[in-house]
Amino acid sequence: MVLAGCAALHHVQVGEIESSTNWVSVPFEIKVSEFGVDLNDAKAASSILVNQRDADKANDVLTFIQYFQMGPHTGAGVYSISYVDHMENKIRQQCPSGRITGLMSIRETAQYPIIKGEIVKIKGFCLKNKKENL
Amino acid sequence: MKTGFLSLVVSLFMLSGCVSLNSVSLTSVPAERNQRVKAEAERFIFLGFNFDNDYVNSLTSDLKNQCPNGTVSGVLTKSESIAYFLFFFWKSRVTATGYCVPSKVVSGSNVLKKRRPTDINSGETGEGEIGESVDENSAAGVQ
Repeated sequence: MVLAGCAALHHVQVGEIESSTNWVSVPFEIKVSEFGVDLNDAKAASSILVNQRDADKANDVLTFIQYFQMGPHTGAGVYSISYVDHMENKIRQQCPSGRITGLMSIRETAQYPIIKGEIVKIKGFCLKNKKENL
Repeated sequence: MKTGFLSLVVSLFMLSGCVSLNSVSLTSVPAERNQRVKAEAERFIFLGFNFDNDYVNSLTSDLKNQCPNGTVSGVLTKSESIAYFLFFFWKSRVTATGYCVPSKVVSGSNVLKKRRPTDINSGETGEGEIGESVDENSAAGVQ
């Protein structure tokens, strides 16, 4: 139970979908993720794992860090947001022709104790001519 | 006293919201809005145990099947959570609605023919000439 990660869904977006008998839809999927840390979980863990005095000190430090992470956000804080910057290039690699349709973007979190996996997933269809070699 | 307490409990149940909206998105709405298509994916969650979100994968295919030879445009995607009893039982639901524009109005293949390939250097130039008018927004289909 503890080791199995729960998945939280934050956002789903479905794009326009084109269908034609002249083209074959080949599905593709791109998934990028970044390591996140939930400081509230870390506080709870410190109170269990160390003695009360050290737990209080750790609590103070974590609270101080949390002051720098205030504001609206989705999921746990990550140390770099550049992990989503190359999504377009990855889509082009999957579908070099550029004939893309039915794009669905999913933002989710894989939740483990303290550690969180902040995930962005893109699913879609690459349209290929029936004559093209699949 | 007892009646007052019961009234308070009933009022709290009646007035408290049990549905919350997580996200909404909308794509360009077409002028031709005769055929409406809808797809829905949901999962019942007990005590927050949900090990994947794969149930949303069927949305695109469902919409595609309802519009086999056309374009689904004006897609409104709505993600919501519905609480049933405290936080023990709740449901996560994603709904996508849109309009099917038949190929007679907007020919999918014609749109595709006008598309400029995203990677011109790859050697594949597609059906469209590089010099012809191309809608940059529809070229990659990226939202």
